[in-house]
Amino acid sequence: MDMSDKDKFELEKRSGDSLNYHSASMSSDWRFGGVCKGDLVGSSSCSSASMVDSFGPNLWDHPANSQTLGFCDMNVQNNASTSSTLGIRKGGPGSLRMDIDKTLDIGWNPPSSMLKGGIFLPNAPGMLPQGLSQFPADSGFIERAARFSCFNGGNFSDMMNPFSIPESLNPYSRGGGMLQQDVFASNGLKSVPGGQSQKDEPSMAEISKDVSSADPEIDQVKGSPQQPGEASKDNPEIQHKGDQNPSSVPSKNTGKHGKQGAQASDPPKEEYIHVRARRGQATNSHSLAERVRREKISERMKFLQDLVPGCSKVTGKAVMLDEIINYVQSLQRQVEFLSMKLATVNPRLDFNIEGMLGKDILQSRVGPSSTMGFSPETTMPYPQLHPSQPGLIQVGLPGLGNSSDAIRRTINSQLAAMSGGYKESAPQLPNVWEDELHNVVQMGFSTGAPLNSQDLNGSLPPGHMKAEL
Amino acid sequence: MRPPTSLKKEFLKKWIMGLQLCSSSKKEMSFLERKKAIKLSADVAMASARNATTRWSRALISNASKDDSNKGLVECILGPESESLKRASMSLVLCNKRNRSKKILRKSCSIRRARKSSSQMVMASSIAKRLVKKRTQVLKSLVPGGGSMSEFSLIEETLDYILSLRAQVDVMRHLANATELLNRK
Repeated sequence: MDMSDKDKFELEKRSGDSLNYHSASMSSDWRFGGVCKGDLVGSSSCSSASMVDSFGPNLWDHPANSQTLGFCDMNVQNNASTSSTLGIRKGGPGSLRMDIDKTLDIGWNPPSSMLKGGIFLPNAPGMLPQGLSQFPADSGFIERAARFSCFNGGNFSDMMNPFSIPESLNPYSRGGGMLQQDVFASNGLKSVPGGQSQKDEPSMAEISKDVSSADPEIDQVKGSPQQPGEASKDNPEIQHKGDQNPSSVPSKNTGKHGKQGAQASDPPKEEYIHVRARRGQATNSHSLAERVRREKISERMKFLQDLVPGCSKVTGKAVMLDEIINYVQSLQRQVEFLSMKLATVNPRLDFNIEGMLGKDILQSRVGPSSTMGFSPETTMPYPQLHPSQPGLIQVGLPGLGNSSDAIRRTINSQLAAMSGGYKESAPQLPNVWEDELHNVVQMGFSTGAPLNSQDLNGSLPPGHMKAEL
Repeated sequence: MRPPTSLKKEFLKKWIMGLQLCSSSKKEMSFLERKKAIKLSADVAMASARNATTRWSRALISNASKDDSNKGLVECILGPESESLKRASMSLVLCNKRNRSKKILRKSCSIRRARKSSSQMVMASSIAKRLVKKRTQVLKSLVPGGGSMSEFSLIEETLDYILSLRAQVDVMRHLANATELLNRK
């Protein structure tokens, strides 16, 4: 289904936006095709009212079909001027055709592309079933189609555009292309770039910086939660968005960006966010900007939720902010307290790193941090530290042979707290130790000779880092 | 996300360096002095571990370097990038002035608005908004350099700040425990 959608996008693109449905019958092909594929195969080539008539009884015979009729039609993109209200109407063939025309107004990508293909290639009956076979006739689809049917399809071409120009403009989006703030009202869609966006530039500039610096994933992540969230509301437009598969979200998002990129070739630093107004909401660009802002903020709050412990069940900005404030305050207080503790423990502010490497600390530390699993006997060849230190270090190293252990344990305790798989990490930890010790000792004590050791990469396996995060 | 262990390592590095500088400069320090020095070097080290990519770190550094006595320490910890960082942090001061004037303007406008709408019923949403606003102000006061941030960037900065604080607390705790154990022996 994903691939089929993308294919359909491609088809649409190729066939262009202006698709005139001279004969409603052709569209009826598509429509009925969704219902009864077999019939269409035979009648694909002929495009006459007779087909409609022949299908007419079919249509009315199956009441269910009438519904799908309307919905299938919605999938057909129509640039014709038949932009009256769409709906499922029951009546004679004449009204049926009217119906078809009107339902054609609602564009729906996959079938529309198929339709176009059919119209351009009337001699290829094979296309029909192929395209129509991908026609999802499930109830969810029908529901969405129903919602679309109430939509004024006058400007559906506009609606379709962003989604039919995805791939080609991908590079735009990725390259920090233009995102324009467009307003898509439910009726009589107008795009309001220009003036409003100018005003919002200062705020957008900041957002743009954040957006551009944010991962592309975040954009897509933002896109996909938007869709379910919006789909939950009774909005045909958003339903339309939601219609498209989640896999097409990237193409959609980039389609958004891409469209703006195509339209505006202005300074690349400005970024606009393509927004669609929801049905029943003000289409004022201010409120749209507000909405975009709010969504961004709520997305960031989700990150914070993961970060701050105990915030997973909290909803609402105020409470979240409260929790965050408490957490930050507690962390700051901890820093103060620890600095006080260090001040008491160290009468002379000399931090004897090597001293900590002594075996004594190793063994005593093993107790509290019981997660340490490796035996103290494991030693690593460790070179002798140069004793010439600027008076800060008390060279009281009991056994340098165990220094690696000590460092290992000290740092291990950090890691153990974070990662469960401690024992597995044991072999890699010495690397961290070495590295850490080297950094600290080399930097602070400016030893002449480099501390020899396997200059192993101190980066932990990603699992640890993930655990930390 | 940046690997947290590298952040910790960097932080530890710079912190120890700063501490040694402090201790080498003065032979005898009172408890409070020591605590201050420890905290200061820890904060600056943490901020410099971010290499001034975040606003809060820049604000921290600029605040620290305002005090002349700390300047040497800050420069030492920052190392070679200190000059550029200082310049970056100076811009924050100017931003603050601009924000202050904006705030004054906004306040005057809001007072007018409040008078108009005082007759209307107080909606729950407005209460919620007020709550949120209050709390954002508190958060702004907590995060260094938060006064000049928009709401969105404030949240981002808080994210980063929380991560760094966590790393800082971890490292400090381990060091404290280690020294404690060492002293016991």
